[in-house]
Amino acid sequence: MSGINEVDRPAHWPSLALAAALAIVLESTWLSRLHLRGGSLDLVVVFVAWYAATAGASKGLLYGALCGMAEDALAVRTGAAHMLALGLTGAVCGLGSRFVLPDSVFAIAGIVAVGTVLSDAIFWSTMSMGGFPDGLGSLHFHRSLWSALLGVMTFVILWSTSTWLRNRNGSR
Amino acid sequence: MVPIYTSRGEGKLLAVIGVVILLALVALLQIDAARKGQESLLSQILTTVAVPVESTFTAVGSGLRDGASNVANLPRLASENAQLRDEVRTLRAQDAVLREAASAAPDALRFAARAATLDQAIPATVIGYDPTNALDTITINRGSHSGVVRDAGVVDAGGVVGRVESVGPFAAKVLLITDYTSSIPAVVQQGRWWGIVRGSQTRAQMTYISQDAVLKPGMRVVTGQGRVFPPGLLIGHITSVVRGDASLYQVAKIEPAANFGRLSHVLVLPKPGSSTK
Repeated sequence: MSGINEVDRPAHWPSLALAAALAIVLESTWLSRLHLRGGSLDLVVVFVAWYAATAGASKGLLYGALCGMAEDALAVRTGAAHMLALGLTGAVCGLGSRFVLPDSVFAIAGIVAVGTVLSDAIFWSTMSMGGFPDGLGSLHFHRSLWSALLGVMTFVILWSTSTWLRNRNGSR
Repeated sequence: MVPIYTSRGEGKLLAVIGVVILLALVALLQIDAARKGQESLLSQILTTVAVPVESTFTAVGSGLRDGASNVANLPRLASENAQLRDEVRTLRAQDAVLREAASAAPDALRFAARAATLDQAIPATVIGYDPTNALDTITINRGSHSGVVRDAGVVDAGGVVGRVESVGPFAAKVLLITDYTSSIPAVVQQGRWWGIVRGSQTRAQMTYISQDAVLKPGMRVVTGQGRVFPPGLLIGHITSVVRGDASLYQVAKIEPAANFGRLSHVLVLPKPGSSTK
């Protein structure tokens, strides 16, 4: 179906899987050295929130849970905390996108920011249930805000690049 | 009005239920493995698959960073090299004198055992970090196939780095001493005051130090007798001391000796007691 939603059509599963794999590898290698006042870029959350905003709650939940499962497998002692956090974040971002224009960069940027903070909050709540100190969540709150800022900046760059590429390919 | 269910819609519903059950099953297996302190099968598979990819990314990143750094520092390197050569000559002479002194000391045997422990260490390269930065962990490119075991200590040229938290066949994950959940027994070298070094995200702090201890910035903090590290390995230096009048203990902020910003090569130590007889 073509029309107004052509630009923001949800991505296909192979490209989503590739994006998630690349994001996780980048996070565990190069991006781990980039910090802004304690906060670091969580590229996976950006992709999950972005995809959920365009594809809806159920697909967002599934994509988030699968990304979280991969992160849990590569992390230490997190159990299924990332899976739960990213899955619920995907679902909430998908539900939140119902109330905004799905092709608005500002709306999706806001969803990415909320998704980053929400994902961290759910993650640390789950970890505290698993025996980690309760204070870690509040200690990480200010880091989440900086991570959200980095996430929004990255999303705007990625969105602008993808829009430019689509427009260029479309004009040929 | 009664809704009409088609076979396509039913198939989709069953697929969703199947995926949810599968995810829940994986989550339960992951939680069970985390509680037992083991690596789940999924973790082992994904970590093993990720090792070559992470190694490549890390090698490319390190190459680019080192190349840029070398070009920028080229003028300074020549003079620094000459200075370091002089320093090495002096240190070698001092080392010979100290080895002679150690061989004559009463606890020479203990000293020799510690040296042997370091000789048996397994060299490893850091290939990755925690993907979400939630916990301060690193991934190294040596696993159970190379003899790495859980709870083994990890050091670099500067000092203590952390301990092995989980081991896969070809990789292991190390919890850094800067992580909030890390705690190791430690001693302030001047005065032999005992305490526990805990992580504080970017640095570390030594807690439970007696109020009688006279602490000053710059004092060396080394590992105490524990089950992970042999005693006497450098953890870091005290940068400041918090001493509340009403508190039972002092807290010393510590700058770790290991350079966590540029961690690349580490040594995995054999567990104390498992090395030499």
